[in-house]
Amino acid sequence: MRIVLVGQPNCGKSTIFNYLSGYKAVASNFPGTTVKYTASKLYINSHLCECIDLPGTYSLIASDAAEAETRKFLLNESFDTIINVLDASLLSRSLELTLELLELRKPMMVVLNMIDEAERKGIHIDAEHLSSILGVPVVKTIGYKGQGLTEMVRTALQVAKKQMPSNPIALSKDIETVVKKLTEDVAKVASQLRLPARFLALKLLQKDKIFEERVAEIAPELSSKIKAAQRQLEITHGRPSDVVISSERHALAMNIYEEVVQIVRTPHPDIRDKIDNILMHKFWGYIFLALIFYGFFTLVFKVGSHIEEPLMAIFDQLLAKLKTCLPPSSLTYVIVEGTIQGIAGGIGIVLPYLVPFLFGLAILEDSGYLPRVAFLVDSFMHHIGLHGKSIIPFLLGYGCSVPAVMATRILESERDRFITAILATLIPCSARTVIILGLVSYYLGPVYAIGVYLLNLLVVAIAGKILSTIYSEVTPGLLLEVPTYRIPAFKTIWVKTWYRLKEFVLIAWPILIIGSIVLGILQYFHLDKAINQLLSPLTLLLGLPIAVGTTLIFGILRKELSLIMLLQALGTKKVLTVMSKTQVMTFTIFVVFYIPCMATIAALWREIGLKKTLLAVSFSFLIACLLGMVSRFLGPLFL
Amino acid sequence: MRIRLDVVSPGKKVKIIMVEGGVRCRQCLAEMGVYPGEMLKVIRSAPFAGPILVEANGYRFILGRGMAAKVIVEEMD
Repeated sequence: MRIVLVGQPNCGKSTIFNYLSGYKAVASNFPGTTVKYTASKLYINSHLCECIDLPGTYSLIASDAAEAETRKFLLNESFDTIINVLDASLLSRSLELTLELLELRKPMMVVLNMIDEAERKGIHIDAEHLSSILGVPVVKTIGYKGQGLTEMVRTALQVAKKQMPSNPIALSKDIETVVKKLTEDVAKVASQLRLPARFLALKLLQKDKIFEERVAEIAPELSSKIKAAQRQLEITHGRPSDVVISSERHALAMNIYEEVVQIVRTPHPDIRDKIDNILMHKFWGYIFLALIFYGFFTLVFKVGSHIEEPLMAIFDQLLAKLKTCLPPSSLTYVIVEGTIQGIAGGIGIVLPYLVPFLFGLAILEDSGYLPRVAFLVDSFMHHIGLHGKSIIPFLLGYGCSVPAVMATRILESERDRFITAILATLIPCSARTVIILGLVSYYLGPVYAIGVYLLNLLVVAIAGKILSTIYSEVTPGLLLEVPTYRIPAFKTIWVKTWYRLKEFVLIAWPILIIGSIVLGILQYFHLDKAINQLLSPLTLLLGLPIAVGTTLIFGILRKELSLIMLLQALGTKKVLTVMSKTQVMTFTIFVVFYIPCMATIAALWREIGLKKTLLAVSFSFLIACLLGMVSRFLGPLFL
Repeated sequence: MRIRLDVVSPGKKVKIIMVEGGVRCRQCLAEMGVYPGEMLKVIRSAPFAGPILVEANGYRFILGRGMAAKVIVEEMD
């Protein structure tokens, strides 16, 4: 049995899905967290169910790539029940999607989620009455508390068992006549496309490009009939036919809302709205933006360095002991040493910074602050040819480039997606943060680390300017819902941190240990020299020790490998004894910008295609070389 | 008096008269509840010709200047 969760962005689908599946989707407090659908198998009353969490969509007219995913799924895949999740506190707007879903004629139920939020606003909803109007079961829930979810699952099973298709609700008489007529005309094409005829007719009246093109392909003779129907609505209503249909649905949703809702009291003035007076203020907003991110990174560094030093001391002792047990010139020693260094790299260097970083990022995401950042930076983003929404992939990029690249799906135009994806990979992800903190901050001081971040922002801005000049097309502009602030639930934050950390522990860490052993063996047989020789034109150009050549190759596998491999390649943890400050800076800058890691390249390939991915890779390599050389020659003046 | 939404000063309530722009732009705005006849309240605007924060029917959204300029409104008292 297959159940799909559909709803508008930020209505709590992922929270419900997580509750059902034991935490698998990443939920956040900003619209567009789920950009790809997540599926999970679970047993309900000994029935094996596949539950699918679709990206949020405001309507079944796709305006960005994530919404297109939802529509494609609903129209092409087979499933047994739609669970339409609504934010009960935004009932009238949420009902517009529900009305559209009813047109699909599939077994369906409605979930009024966040009912506590609605009560707070003084909205009381008569669920039974709503159910009788819509002709589908309605259940009230509070997703994050798990309240009402058992009832929801029970109802979903019943709906799936009965297989009663939903029934569309009639529009006003004159519009209905036009719709009915067109429905008959397109019936044959609709069955060819395997769509409900009425759904297709409505989409054609709404001037949906994709359907217009498809119909024009198979049945060009219908074009005059479609045009005539559109014109008829335009003449009688004095508005474009797409506006007629969407306004009609809007009015219908409002009517239903008024019938089922009782406003029991005026909403309490909410303290949370007051917060925006500061955080979105034209002066204080920016001050707090800077403070929040400054505080965030210094906290991560403070926590990280406190844990790192004692941990590394333990491993140093262990390695010293090893030298007394095994002859340092044997192959066994090299392998054991490589293993210990690989494990140490994970525990001692990466984890202390990664855990607080991911934890903090999760708090920022769930609090609802990120859309406010989009508001503050929109005008700056226009300077680099993008708009405010692109800041969300950028910020996610500080965590990991892969979700950042995927998050570009929340953008409307292909050009914006492509430029944002390339720029997002230039942002130092948590792995590169570890390198910046572990090398620059540790050996040169935190001020220099902040310098690297600022330089990075400058480079991203210039690169954005260059790309948007090459691909000069006007960005569609910002339109983004601003959710209410929420105090993040500890459990979701922790689960989200763990979910992202698992990626490191299960994939990166083993590679790190194996890589460390491989490097040891290469050194044992003096093969690393050959690789270093091969890369010597590059290392010489950057003025780096020849020995760092191999580490750059490992860095393409996983960015954090560069740092750990560096320590091993140099044969010491005291980097400054073998590298000058300038070299440390040059190495870091080069590693931050050069070629994205394998996982990111794969994500880019999927999102923007091979050609543009190759462009992105060479672009980043070029930037890295250029900045590396600048650092090499300017470094001695400042460091 | 009919004006464009991007020039409405914060704190003012407006009634939407007309939405200009292409089909896609109209549809995006419609999804946020921007229809002729509906009421909106401009909450604040970002500096440097940035976007505006708008409240409609119990929820808030950010609207870029370019898009706001396509919405023709009438100021209410």
